[in-house]
Amino acid sequence: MQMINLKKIILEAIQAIDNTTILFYQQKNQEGYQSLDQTLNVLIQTTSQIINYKSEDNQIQIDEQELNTVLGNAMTAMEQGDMILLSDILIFDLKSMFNQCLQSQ
Amino acid sequence: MNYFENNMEYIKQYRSNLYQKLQEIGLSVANNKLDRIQSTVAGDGDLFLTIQKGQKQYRMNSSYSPKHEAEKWIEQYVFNNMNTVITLFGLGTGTFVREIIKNKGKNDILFIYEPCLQLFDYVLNNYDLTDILQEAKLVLTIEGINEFEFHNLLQDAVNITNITSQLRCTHPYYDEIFPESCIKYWNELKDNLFHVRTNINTEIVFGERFITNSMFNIRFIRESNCLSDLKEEIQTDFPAIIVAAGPSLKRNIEELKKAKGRAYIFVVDRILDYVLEEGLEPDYIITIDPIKPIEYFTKRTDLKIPLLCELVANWEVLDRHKGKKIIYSCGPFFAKMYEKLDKKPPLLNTGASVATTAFSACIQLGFKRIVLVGQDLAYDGEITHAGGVAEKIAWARDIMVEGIDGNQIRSRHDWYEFLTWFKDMITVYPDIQVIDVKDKGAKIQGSIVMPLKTVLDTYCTKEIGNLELPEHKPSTFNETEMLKVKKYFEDSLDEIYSLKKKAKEAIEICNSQIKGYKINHEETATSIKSFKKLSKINKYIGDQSIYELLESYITGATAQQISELYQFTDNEKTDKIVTYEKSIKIFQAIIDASEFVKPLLEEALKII
Repeated sequence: MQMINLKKIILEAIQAIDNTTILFYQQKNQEGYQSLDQTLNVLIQTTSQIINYKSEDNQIQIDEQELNTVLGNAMTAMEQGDMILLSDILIFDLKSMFNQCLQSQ
Repeated sequence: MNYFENNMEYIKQYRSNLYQKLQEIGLSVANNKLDRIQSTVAGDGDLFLTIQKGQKQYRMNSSYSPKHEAEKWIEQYVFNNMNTVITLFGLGTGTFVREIIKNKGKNDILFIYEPCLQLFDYVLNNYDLTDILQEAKLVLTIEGINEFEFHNLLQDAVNITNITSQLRCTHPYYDEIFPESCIKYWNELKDNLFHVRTNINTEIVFGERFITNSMFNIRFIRESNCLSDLKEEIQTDFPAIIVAAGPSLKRNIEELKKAKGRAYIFVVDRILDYVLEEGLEPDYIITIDPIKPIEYFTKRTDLKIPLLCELVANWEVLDRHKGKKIIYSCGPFFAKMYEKLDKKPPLLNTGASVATTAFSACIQLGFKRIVLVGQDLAYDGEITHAGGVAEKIAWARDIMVEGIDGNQIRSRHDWYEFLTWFKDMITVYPDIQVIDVKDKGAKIQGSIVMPLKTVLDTYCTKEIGNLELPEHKPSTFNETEMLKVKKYFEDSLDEIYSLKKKAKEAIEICNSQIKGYKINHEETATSIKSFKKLSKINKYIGDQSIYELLESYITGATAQQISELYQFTDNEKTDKIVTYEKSIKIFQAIIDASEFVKPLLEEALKII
């Protein structure tokens, strides 16, 4: 995969995070859950594409272990129904990791 | 100073009513609704709040960044309009409040309803709220301390210009943690909406009629008195009995006859003939309705019992009544007339029903004990009024309310509004004892339920000596003063001419502004000059006494335009054009109202 395509996927994932988390921040939980379904698919695809891209010996700034920890934390927050915590994790942890990836050459 | 001392100092300085209440009631009365309250440092260094209630724990703010969360939360609200009333259920740590303050317009007002004194106490001790506490356009109410302010001030804040642009917010999780208070909060907003809509509808429906009535009733001013003129005659150590038209009156009528001469009896217009036919002559009659069908008053044409009325009350009622008229209230136009003659204008918080008006009048007269008879405010089967009347009002919605026996009973939404009004007045006047003598009907919060016989045996044991008859009392205005009254109305007639001229001029300016903005939406020297000219005209019109009279007509004719006048979109050019278009309609209504009033005032001047 070319970096340009990966960047496009990451940007879409960031957009999905923004769209979903704002609903939870605004306490619109029902709409948030509906949006989350789609967002989770996008995130799963994006992270696997990033890992694949890295496994092909490409240069990309991503700490896989940290990524796993973040995803694990997100899962825990979701299981606990703590959607503000989930939103924070997606915005402050995952989104910033995605942004780092975007800065990779 | 620590947080608590600092916050309290600001409450003392900027919110003296709240401070006084906190001093009187004390923070120590906080009932511990919550099992644990805790603050922790968030990722961004701010504090976030965690609450435990029962087995459940609530994190009230983001643990990463409370500020970021609030910034995202506020984005759901649009602050385009002017004079918006914003309500928030839950103060929390103040993070969400700060975002509202940051985003709201300078004339928007924020009402905060904090349901938990325990939490408020904790926040005062652990967070710096001084920036919030000194905010001018903010009302802070705490349940159990000053929640009446929420109710009371909200009624004043919402009006035709902002009723459709209110913003209602809830702090995250407050609705889950305090469900009962949340229901109370939403009921309060709902009731307030109903109250304001009723007032607006009254203006719309009665706009013209208010003017017709008051212009006709000008002829009664010469022989009239103000309510305050009666004060010196009334012996307020005797109770006042207000006789309303509820079905329970029938069951009390025999006992009521025994009260004659032992209490002051005020009867509402609707039930007058029934009471007279039963052989009881009341001391005062009271009327309020501007369009009350004359058949609901009396068939008698020689009625001389003093009538408490306002100048906008139905002219037919005042015309049929032949006795002394006692004016309890007048609009701002007539208030200026009284003021010009160094008299205190009659003014009363009427509460929209004739019985609530009677209640208010009794308070103003200084009675310390008020007895309510026939104030059922609920159906008795299908019966709504004494004498077996089952009134059907198409627009009235039925609701269930608490009865005096504690059970739910069927009432009507307009009666519920009166119930709320009584409750408020009893709260505001705690020194006045209010006794409700009905045997069934809606519970009036704060009143004492007592049979009429017990009331008479306990409080009406003496005869009222020297019951001064108001018909012999000199009128408010003597003959010399009446010349000045006439002069006031003559000047008002002159004002009509200049008002019409100015309104026509204003329409021309608005049209030219619209034309200008359609070509070029930027401000030009001409548009700025025209705007200033228009502002001057607005001020001139608003300053005229006669405008106060025309206002109800104008509101009725342009309710839609007025209600949208402060609503804006993101498109500045469209907003300007639309605002001028609405203004044209309002100026046209001023012209129409002037033309409507002119012949009526000319006629009144001939008679006065």
